[in-house]
Order: sequence, then structure tokens, then C-alpha cells
Amino acid sequence: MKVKYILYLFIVGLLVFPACDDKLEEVNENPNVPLNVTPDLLLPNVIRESVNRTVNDNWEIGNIVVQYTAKIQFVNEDRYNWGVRDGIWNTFYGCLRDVNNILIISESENQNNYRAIGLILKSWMFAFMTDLYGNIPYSEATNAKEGIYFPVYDSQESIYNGILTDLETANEIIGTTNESVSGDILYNGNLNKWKKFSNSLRVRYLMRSSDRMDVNAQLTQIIANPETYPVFTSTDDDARLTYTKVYPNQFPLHTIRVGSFDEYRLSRHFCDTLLMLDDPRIKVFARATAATADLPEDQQLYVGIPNGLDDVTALTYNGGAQNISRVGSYFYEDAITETGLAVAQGNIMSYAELQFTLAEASRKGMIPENTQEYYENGIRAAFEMFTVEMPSDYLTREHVAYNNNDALELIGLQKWISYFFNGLEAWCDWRRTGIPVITPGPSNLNDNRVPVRFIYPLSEQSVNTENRANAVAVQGADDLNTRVWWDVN
Amino acid sequence: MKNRIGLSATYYNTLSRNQILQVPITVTSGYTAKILNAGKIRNKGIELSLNVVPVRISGLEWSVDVNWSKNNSEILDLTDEISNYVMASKYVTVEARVGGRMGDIYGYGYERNPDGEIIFSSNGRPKQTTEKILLGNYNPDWLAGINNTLRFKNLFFNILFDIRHGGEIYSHTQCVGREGGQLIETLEGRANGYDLSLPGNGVIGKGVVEVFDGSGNVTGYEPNTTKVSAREWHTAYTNGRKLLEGCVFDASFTKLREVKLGYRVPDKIWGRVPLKDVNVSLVGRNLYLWTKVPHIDPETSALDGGTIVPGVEAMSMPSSRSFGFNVNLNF
Repeated sequence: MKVKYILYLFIVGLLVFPACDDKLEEVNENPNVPLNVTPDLLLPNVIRESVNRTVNDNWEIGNIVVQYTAKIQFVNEDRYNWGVRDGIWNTFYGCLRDVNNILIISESENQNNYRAIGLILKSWMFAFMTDLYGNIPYSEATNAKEGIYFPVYDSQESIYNGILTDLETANEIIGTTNESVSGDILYNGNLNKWKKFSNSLRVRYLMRSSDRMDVNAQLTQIIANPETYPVFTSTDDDARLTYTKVYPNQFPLHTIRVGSFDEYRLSRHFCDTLLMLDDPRIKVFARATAATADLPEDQQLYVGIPNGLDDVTALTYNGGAQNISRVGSYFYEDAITETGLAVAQGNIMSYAELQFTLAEASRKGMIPENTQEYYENGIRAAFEMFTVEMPSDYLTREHVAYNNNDALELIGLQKWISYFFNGLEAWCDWRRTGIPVITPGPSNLNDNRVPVRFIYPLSEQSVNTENRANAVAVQGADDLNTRVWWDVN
Repeated sequence: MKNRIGLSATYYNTLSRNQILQVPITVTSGYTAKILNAGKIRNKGIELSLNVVPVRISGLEWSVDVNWSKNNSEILDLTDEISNYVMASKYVTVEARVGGRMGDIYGYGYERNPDGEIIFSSNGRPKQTTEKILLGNYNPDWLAGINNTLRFKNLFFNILFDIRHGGEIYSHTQCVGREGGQLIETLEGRANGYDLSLPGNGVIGKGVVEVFDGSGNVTGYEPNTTKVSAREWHTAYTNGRKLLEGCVFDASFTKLREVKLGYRVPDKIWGRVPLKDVNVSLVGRNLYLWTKVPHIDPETSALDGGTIVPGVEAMSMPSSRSFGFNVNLNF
């Protein structure tokens, strides 16, 4: 009887006093994982992931499209049958979520150094993507926490304006607070180098949009005021990620299958250019053919294969793979040697590039005239970058020696060489300047046109349908041939 | 009739609402998925089962059990925010789109003219659609099983068929095998190597090419006459593993699922030993497959990480044929 009574009370109690209280949310908090992070914990991964991705995409597409390399097997990329490429997109937007967190945290903690680094990385990543795809989500991107699940695609023009403003802000605020920066695997917390990087990037993106806007005043302001706007002054300032000898921070290609590495060979276009200039960098970029590798050095042959052949022709060209140069060993098995660590880096932007860009701007009269010096500085830096000693007569050789009439072609050619393994940036330059001349391969599948754009990731059709459709309506067909905003030539 | 015919029928019509879904969202939002309560999905179906004993005479009995089922799930609504739920993605995507059926498979297809003929480029390769299209649905129209049992005295013989009618499957074996020239299909156009001037070499895809007027508008279509080498053709067939329509097949099949021959030991033999219903039998499973899908077992699905991707065959192992000897004892 008594037991029954207690049971009744219990049941009534359950009904009368529902157990909800304001502690429910607390139950959902996992005490074993951090709820808050600091920028120094986010920074290494953001830099490593994004730079690794660019190395891979340069290898797979960038180096092919600007004809540093060509394929002897599985030739789809080389025939411009690219389909959708979403690696950069997925990785960069993933990293940008963390960049956004760095910006939010640094702003609330008043850490201007971290904030500046966040703005610089953000600018670089968005520029990289918009240069590939055109209009992309920018102003509303990485804001799912604020309830934006369908970010609109912004025009490239507005993205560029945002980037240029952010880089200017970064230059202004960096060094204005006292926190020291850690977790910085690119510059090891050297704020001065970040400041130079910020302004050098600004030069790059000003120049890239220079066919659309008058950027002369801004470029001149940067060049004329090195105190306020310091830029790279030597290869020591290069924004190049150095890898390590040990896993997992090795050069990304070091661990791929040898069969995959060997699909990509020296392109005939690049090979013949280097041979014409008698340029010793060829020994870093490539290796002598397997058939001649064991002969005395003067009998070794460097042979490239034309881009854009069909499968059968590519495999049998020049008697087969043993007669075609492989890509240099520093980008593969020797990436973990001392020289390999210096050569095979994740190149975001180099001093050499900056000098060539300034040479072009100078030759075009956009900044005060100093073309030859910029040009020759660029060449010296580009040799240094690949640890090759420049032949003493190099700057006076035919096709190299500076002359005013051919200046733009000379600059473009040397810049192209200096961009080796940074093909996607070289591709941007080619799209803007048309230098060097790139001829689609005989079996290309794009009606003899060199692609000028990436196709949006397939998933966007499913998960951001309307905004993608609007972007396509504004920009033009979602194919390889629709030009991005700054690409007017 | 002495229990010689039995029939049971079920009809159901259910509406599932607000299930917990992990819905993929665009990575440009900074995140790749959102967990939410969403969805309104109607399931309608019929299940029938029939058993008949056509013969029962002096120790001989033949009985047939047939079951048949049909299900149709329709997506009535997802949420205000999401009209398209990517449930799985491997080569093709399985998407729940409002107004569609559960199990719809999407991917790139062949560009076609208004008469449904495949459009080819001037280089003899089929053109790929610019948007993903509905390539099929992995759910069958109906499923059936037929089980025959024949008994004579203590001997019994059992034979079971499984039938699946309708539904589609994407075969990655087809896609990759074509590219590598490993499938019998790739003998087409390579009687004598890749030299197109030799007889028997090269393939002219069946379809049309566009006819343009002076300003580049399409004014009509004429048959494709461009011959490409076999190697080119069999990769162009999928446009380098991107255009997957040609690798989507009708997944209908009939399987001889099980054959069993057995003997039931009479109980009285055991005397005082506490055994009854002792059976010995020979059994064979998955003995034969009738299907239109080439090379693969249509009754398969792919794995992506730990998730099953139905409707996709990714170089999967077929279900294996097995033979066995059974002894059943009951105490």
C-alpha cells in the first residue's frame, strides 16, 4: 500500500514539475574540446593547407596551361578537357573560415598584428580564387554562423576593391599593437616582412586590374614612399613557404606515386626556350632524358614534349618516355635535400615577380622610368630563387639583353621563366598580357582556345543554386572560355 | 480448399516530417553541413504475398510463395532554406529535390537535340550538358521473390528467385574499363589498332552535329560523320570520367538466389534420443544472374568513407556464389 502511494506521488511529480531548466544548453558543451581558440593556433594550418593546395593545383593544371610541363599519359588536362576543378575552392573557403575567426578574435582582442596578417591572407586567397573563377562569394562568404547559408556571388570588380582596401589597411595597422605573432610558419613572426608582403601583393593586384582602372597614382605612391609602403627588397623577403625534411610538412609532391609524377614531363615550349637562351636553370627545372642521363654531361639531352597531344601520340612521341625529360628531382625525390628545400617551396609571391611587374609598369609609363634596373633585378632574383648561379654574360645575351623596343616581351619571357611551378599566377599574367605566346596543342578539345577560367564546382549547382545561376547570367557561360573582369585583352 | 491458397495485402501511406538531417551547404559559407529538422516525405506502397499449393497428392506437395512489393517516396518539402538535399556523392550525386523521388541520381549527360539525338562536336566527341541532369533513380519499381518448394515423402527441394524490376545504377567499372580498354565494349573500332585509314578501325558516334548559319546560330542538325580512334572514342564516351550518362544502366535483375535439396530424417529413427526435425541438405546460393547491366552485379552499392552510396557501383566485389551442406538439429 505504502509503495503504491509513493509511486503515485512520483508520477504526479513528473507531470507537475517538468525538468527543463536553463542548464540544458550547458549539457551540450563538450568539456573535452576547446570552445575558443587563439589566432596562433589557427595560423599554421591556414598557411600550410592553402599553400599546399596551390602547389598541387600548379602541378596539375597551372604548369600545364602555361606550358612548363606537358603530359605523356592521361592527357585530359593537357587537351583542355578540364571539367570542374574544385580543390582550390574547397580548401580556400575552408581556410577562410579560420581566417575569418582570426579577424574576429584579433579585432575583439585588439591584436592588430594578427588582424593585419588575417587581412593579407584573406586578400591573397580571395584574389587567387576570383582570378580563377571570376565572380565568387566574397562579401557574404564564411558567415554561416550569422545565418548566411547562401552567400551571393560578388563581381570581381567589387572583390578587387575590397582586396585593395584590405591590403592598405593591413599596411596601416601592422605593428601598431604590441602582441608578438606566433604560429607564423611563413615569416616566423617577422612583421616587417608581412608589411612588405602586403604592399607587394597590392602592386600585383593593382597591376592585374590595370586594364580596367587607372592605378598609376596608387602604384607611384607605393614606389615613391618606401617608408610608408615598404615592398620586397630581396629574395629574403619572398612569400615562399619552406618545407621540412620530415613528414607531414614536406613538399606536397614528395610523397606522390612515381607513376603520377612521371605523367608530367618538360614541355617542349619551355624546354626549347631555355635551350635557346642556354639557360642553366633547365637543370633544376628538369633532368636529362633517361636515355642520356648516364652519358657525360655534354652528351646529355634535354627534350620536351609538345602540349596537348592525344594519348597515343603522347606516349610514343620521340620514341617514348625514356627520350623525354622528367621534371627536376628537387620537386620530387630530392625535395628533402638542402637544395631541394630551397628550390621546392610554396611560392605565394617572390621578389623576382615584383621586380618584373614594376619593370612592366615602368615601361608602360605607369610609374617613374627605371625599367632596365627592375628587369635585371628580376632576372638575378629569379636565378637566386632556384639556387642557380647566373652566367656572367647572361644579361647581355641575345633574347635577354635589355632593349627598349622589345622590353615588354623580354620582361614577360623572363617573368614566365621565374614563375616556374607557379603556373596559375603565370596564367593570370598570360591572360592579361598575352606573353609568352601560348599555342593550344594539336589535339586540344577547346576549339583551339587556351582556357581563361575555371568552371564553378559542381556542388554549387546543388547547394547554392540560385546565386550561382545569377553569377552565370551576369558573367557569361560557366565554361573555360568566359573571361574574368580584368581580362580584357 | 484446405488451406491451399493464402493471400495477404498491405497498403501503406506514410508521411515523415521534420527528420534530423545533416544537410550539405556551400563551403563558401565557411561550413560544409548543417544539422536541421526538415523534410516532408511521403512513402506510399503495396506489399502482397501469395502462397499457393497447386499439388498435394499422396506424399507429394508443391507449394509456391510469392511476395511482391512496390514503394514510392516523394519529396514534398525540405525547408524554406533548402530545396535540394545532396544525400550522397560519389562520381554521381544522389539528391533529394523537392518534387523529385528519393533516390534520384544526378550527373552530367549527353547534350541532345529536340529529337533526343546525341549532339557531337566537330571533332567527333559527344557533347556534355552544361548542367547536371537527372540520370535515373536507384530505387526499383518493384521487387519480387518467388519460392518454390517441392516435397516428396522426406525429400524436399527448394528453389528461390529474387527479382528486381526497374531502377538505375551507375557503373564505375564501365567508366574506367572503357578508358583502359579492358572491356569487351572497347573492341569496337580497334580491329586493327588506331590507324584510322585501316578498315575496322575507329568509331563514328551515333548522333548528330549542329549546323550553323553565318552568325553562329544553330539552324539544324545533320548526322555525325566524324570518325575517331577507338582509344579516343572510349574516353570521349565519358569525356574523361565526367559525362556519366553512358555508364548508367537499368539495374533490373533476376537472381537464382537459392537452390536447396534436402532430406528430413524421420523422427522415429531416433527412438529415445531427444532429437526431432533433423534435416540434411545441400544448398547453393547466388547461382545465376540475369541482367542487362554488363560486367557487374547490379545488387551492389559503393562506399564513401563509411557511408553507403546506393545506386553507384565503384569497382565493387560482386556477391559471391556459395555452396554448402547443412545439418539442422532440433532438441
